[in-house]
Amino acid sequence: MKKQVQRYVRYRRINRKRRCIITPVGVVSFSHSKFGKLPQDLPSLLQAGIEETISNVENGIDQSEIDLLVVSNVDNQLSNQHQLGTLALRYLRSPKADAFRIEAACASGGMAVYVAKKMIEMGSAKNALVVGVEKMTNITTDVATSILIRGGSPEEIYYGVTQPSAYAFSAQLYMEKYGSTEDDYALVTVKNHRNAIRNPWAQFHKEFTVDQVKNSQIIASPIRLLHCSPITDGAAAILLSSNPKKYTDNPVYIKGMGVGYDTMGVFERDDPTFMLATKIASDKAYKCAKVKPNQIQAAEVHDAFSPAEIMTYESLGFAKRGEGYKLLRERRTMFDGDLPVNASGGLKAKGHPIGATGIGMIIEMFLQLRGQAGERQIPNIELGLVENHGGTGATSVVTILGR
Amino acid sequence: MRNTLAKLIAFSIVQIAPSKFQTPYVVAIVDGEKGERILVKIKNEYFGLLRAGLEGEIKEESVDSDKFNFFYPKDKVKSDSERI
Repeated sequence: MKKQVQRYVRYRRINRKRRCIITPVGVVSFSHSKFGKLPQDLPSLLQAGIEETISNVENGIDQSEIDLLVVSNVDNQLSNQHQLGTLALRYLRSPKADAFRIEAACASGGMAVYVAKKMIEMGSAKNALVVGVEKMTNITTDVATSILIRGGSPEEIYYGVTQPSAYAFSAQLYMEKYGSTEDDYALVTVKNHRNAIRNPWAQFHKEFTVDQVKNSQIIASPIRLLHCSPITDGAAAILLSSNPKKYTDNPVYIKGMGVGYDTMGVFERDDPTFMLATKIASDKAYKCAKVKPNQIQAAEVHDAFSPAEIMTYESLGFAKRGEGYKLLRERRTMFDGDLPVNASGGLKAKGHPIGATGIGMIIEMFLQLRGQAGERQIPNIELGLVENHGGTGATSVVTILGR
Repeated sequence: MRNTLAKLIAFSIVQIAPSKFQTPYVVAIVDGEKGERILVKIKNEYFGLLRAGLEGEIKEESVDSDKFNFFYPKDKVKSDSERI
């Protein structure tokens, strides 16, 4: 039996008996820096993320009530700083808090929230501050790409399969298999850049046409420059609580959350066009939330490279296999469609400060659900989904949020 | 090591990469004789021939101190051997 099928069958067998822990974990506060090239260094971004999240708690919180501090950060070489958990404690006056760093490539933010939520559910913490931070623009693009290639399998790193080229394998196969075109990939970029115009935190406030995307520089065929998310500085933080109503009258709950895994290398997958980790993670999240994909009203998904957004639609159950691109052609995932995806601008246009990305995506859905998303507010939304994946989809974290 | 028959599944011509890799270069996924997925490099002279389903052979070769699997398109392998 093929590896991917074996993995899914094994997951289904184990998961059939697994029950969801029903502890109401709520998001009660947040902070979000501008994404882009920022003047602050990493400790300053970390400090601001923590302090602003605490000061934004509507009903107030004594810092000593925060008993867990999780830092999401991908690569110390980007910031020349180890022990980020302990460093973060410098900015939190809570002697009883545990603190550590989580890394899962681009899924670090989602994974940090997942771990914090699990610790709350297990009773190890009551209030967890999760802060994601990345400083990427202080090094050359060459150094940054040398670091980012590490998100692949050891074999891919050895052969020089860069992140764009790993996604290129999937993107090329998807077009051959399902009849989508470069126009479909370009539409993802066009949509997300248009959405980012309404987001003051976004790195780019510039629209592109399909032709501009299709004529942009080739990075790794068929992936072009305007399919790639940028190098970004930024921080994003949330406060999770087991007693959300104590800290805000307007909490947003994590209704369901799941993590899934696939092979590290795209080349090891029997179907490189299918994001199996996302399928596994979303199955778990839907099961815990007791909802179906057609009940989701908005989503933030991981468009590190534009073609991935289309493949993610299918793994999340928004479209049948091989039909994800039709959602774009039918305008269903546009801002004014029936399932807006990446109203924030996505990673492509909002920016991708890796360790902060997954937390920033959750903040976007938190604001949408509270009706506080400003110009980019999606009307009457009660249930939203966030998908954050690492590497080329080897790790995926899916979170369903609701009121 | 014996050469292995293989079929090209997907490839990418990499134009931008960390400076330790000399661009442009081709990386690809092929299916081996037993259906196993193998990561390969393809020499730049075969750019024009590349398409999914292309058949060929995998040969292990040394480049500096590293060893890589290289995919050679079938027609090219044949014409090379005829020349010899």
